[in-house]
Amino acid sequence: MFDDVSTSSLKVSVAGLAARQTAIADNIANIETPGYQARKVKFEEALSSAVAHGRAPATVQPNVHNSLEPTRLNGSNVNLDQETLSHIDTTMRYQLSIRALDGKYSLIRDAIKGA
Amino acid sequence: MSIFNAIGVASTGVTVYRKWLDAVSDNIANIDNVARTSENAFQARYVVAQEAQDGNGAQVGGIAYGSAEGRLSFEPDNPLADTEGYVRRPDIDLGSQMAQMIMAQRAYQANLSVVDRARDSYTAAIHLGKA
Amino acid sequence: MTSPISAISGLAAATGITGVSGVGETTGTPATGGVNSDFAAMLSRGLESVQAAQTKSADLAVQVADGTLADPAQYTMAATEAALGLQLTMAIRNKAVEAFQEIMRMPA
Repeated sequence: MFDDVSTSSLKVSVAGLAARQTAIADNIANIETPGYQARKVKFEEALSSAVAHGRAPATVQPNVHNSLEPTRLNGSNVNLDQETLSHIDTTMRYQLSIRALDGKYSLIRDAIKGA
Repeated sequence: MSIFNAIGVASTGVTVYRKWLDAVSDNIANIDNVARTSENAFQARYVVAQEAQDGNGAQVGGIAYGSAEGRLSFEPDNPLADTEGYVRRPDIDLGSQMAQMIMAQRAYQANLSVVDRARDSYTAAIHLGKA
Repeated sequence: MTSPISAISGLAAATGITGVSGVGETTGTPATGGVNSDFAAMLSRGLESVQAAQTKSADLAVQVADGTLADPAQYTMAATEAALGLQLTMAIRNKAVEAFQEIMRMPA
């Protein structure tokens, strides 16, 4: 009932965005940690290609990798304004994905209630 | 960042102007560097802004460097002075650097305001149609 | 997406169209028969557009998930239209069932 393409894509997206929020929090916490490598979370490309090739979106896992940005003097390569803006973007995408899932569930709830 | 593209575009601007601010602070920090006349003076860094390749926002196209010759200053007491009593100092004008700092700071803030306004608009779009 | 759509088409088959045209036959008035078939066609067109709205909303939901959507308002509008379409369908079905039951209760 909840394993259609759009619902499972949205679930993958919510999980991926939550992982990204955690990564951003980690990065900002370690902004002055010498030698720290910023973490980046990717899932969009994998999700798009799964949908395009008819594979089940639920198999997509968020991919966490270290940023290749140049390091600053203390050896940390966290970029504060990028992280802050990415945090805003991620928060809003999370809201939108939650809103979309909510819409899906409401449709089913309306159909069950029949009113 | 493609759903909330306005934020992505503004963030490219933020990056450009932060690099400009970094360059200005570098220049001001090194404004009193002294070099031997046989060496190069500290060269001021100038950020070259250009439109982004993909048409979304701005990017740093490269760094231009100020004069390596600098200006000669007669300081016979300076331990780095040559036999004629000259040292090399960077040719950086503090007033111009301060003006650039204000421009870069204002532009940085302007881009952040774009982010704020865009966030308000996008929030309205997210909540559209909610009972 | 499968479940809401199949639910609607199931409801359409069960209630609206055939039930209403049945009413037209019992009264036996030619004029109302014409009106009823128009109503049936209108209802079926309405259901098609509800289904189209749901498909569009589901496509845009995938774009929300993989981040390729250009404008978030496009999705929220499509989703709202799909939800309202379903609610309207439900309201019309309920009215139709109510009307049918009322006719059935009429003394012969």
